[in-house]
Amino acid sequence: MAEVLLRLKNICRTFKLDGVSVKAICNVSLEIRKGEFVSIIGPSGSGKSTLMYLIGFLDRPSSGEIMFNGKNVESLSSGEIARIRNKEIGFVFQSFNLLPKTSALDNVCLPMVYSGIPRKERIKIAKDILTKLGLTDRLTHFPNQLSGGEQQRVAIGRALANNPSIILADEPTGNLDTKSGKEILEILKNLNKEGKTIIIVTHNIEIAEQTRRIIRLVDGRITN
Amino acid sequence: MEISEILKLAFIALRANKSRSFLTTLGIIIGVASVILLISIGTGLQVFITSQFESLGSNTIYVLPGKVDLKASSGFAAAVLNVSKFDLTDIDRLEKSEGAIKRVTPAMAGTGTISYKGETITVEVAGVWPIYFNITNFHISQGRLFNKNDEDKSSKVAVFGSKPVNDLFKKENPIGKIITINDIQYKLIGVLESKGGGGLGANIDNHVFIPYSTSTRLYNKTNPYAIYVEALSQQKVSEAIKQTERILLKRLKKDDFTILEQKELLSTINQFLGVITLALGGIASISLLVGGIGIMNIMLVSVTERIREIGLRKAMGATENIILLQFLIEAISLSLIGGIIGIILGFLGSVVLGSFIKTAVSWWSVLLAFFVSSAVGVIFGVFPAQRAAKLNPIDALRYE
Repeated sequence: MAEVLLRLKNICRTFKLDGVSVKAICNVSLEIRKGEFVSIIGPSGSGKSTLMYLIGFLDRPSSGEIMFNGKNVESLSSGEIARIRNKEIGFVFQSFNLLPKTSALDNVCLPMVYSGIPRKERIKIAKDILTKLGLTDRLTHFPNQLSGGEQQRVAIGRALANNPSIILADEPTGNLDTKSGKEILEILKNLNKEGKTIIIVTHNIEIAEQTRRIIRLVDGRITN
Repeated sequence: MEISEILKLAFIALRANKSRSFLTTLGIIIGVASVILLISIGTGLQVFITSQFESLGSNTIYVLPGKVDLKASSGFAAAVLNVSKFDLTDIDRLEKSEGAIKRVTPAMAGTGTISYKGETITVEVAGVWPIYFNITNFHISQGRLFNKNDEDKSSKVAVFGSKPVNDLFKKENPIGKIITINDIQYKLIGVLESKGGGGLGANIDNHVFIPYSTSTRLYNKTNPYAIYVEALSQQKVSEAIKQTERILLKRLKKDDFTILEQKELLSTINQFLGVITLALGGIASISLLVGGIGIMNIMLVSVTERIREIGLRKAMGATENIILLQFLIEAISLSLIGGIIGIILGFLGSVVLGSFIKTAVSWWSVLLAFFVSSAVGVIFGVFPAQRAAKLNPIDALRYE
């Protein structure tokens, strides 16, 4: 069995709303192993977004322990956390979140800018990635000149830029038509076949069923 | 991440909003340009007045009527209002006394309306003895100066400074022409060499001189308004002051006159002009402050507008410091570009203005403007940049 990449142990995340503490997720424990293809599924309000932000190191738990690559994340500074986000996590968002007025190529380069890869090298890497995603003739296009499916492919390219351990996709097909959605899912499946660990957060059971493991979340707890 | 990358990011962002960036820098441009321009006017005034004073010879002592306190704000105004108690016996005693005094002249001062062929100007018309021109280093450029004979006969002759000649006589030769001063006919016999300087109102070149005896009739006064005393040398100025005081006290009371030496007068005027220069600069820097607030305002708008971008950058691994730097550099670039354009415009403005009045761009005002404008960028940029850096990436990503 592959090594454990990410381990969440008794994670709780509470928010204060008007002075009242609300538990978004509670006592969640899970393990993600290298090379897994996992979906986190649950209705809206089930805490799946909160869980995704925790897994993506955009947020920190109120209690519990997160181990990444065998290291406890709790003790890391915000700078070190930013470095993990940069090098180890590739985000794919429902609304693509590409930088406007910025070419597809430069959008893919963005994480590499923050990891300090020299310009020439990162352009070469970005070109290779976009070619692999079938966007060879879209390198200099701005996001508003691309279709939704193309934008999401650029976003996947951006997620791949720093060759991260985990691709974290939040409703990646939510803003796409059926055909483009299928294409995007195919790309993610292929990436998984190549060995990438992929986590999809979705409320769509049809998409979840195409992954190899489903984690069901209801009212902030894992039910399966 | 290298600083050059962050710089590039900042410039891309500024270029994306060209007209907004320009309008934001406009506040700084106007502020810096006006600081430099106004200080150059003030400094130019100081340079001008100093050079004019020095051209009058540094051995000169001025005796003015009444008590003139140069330290008091109303000093000069008071002197003009004081009634003169000097008479020609004082002059006579000063002339005859042995010691540090070389030459003496009484002076009558007033304003005259001068007409020639329908052209009319109003200038200072001073009545002095011929010796005045020696004391104050005035030289003739055309015609002749009036002499003892003119003084004795109260001749109606006038020696013009270069400015009123230029104003009245366009291309004509002025020598020998009959002009009127306050409706009395005078003959223009000489034109003085210019002492230099711009076209300012208080220009020494902007004077007309007539014999002292003639001027007493023109102004219908018998007491000289002031006495000019020349010391034997610069070293003997203080001795000459004491001598003058001693002699005047024989007839007059201590409060009837004030003796000023040029050095003192000049330093007082310069002090006064220095304050004016600073005040002008201070007023101009208010616009610099307003420009800075403009930058802060736009940066805050920019942070709100780009809240998703900031969230995304954080998700992509940008640290708080990098976000902070990016926005800070944007603000500093705005103010620095504005500062540089402002310095250039202020400089050009003072050159253009220099053809009308004396201006002098001082290096310290340029340096000050440069540092103040970059400081404005830092001070007014920090707050919006911090706000951007502290944004919670989740809230930022969710923001619609």
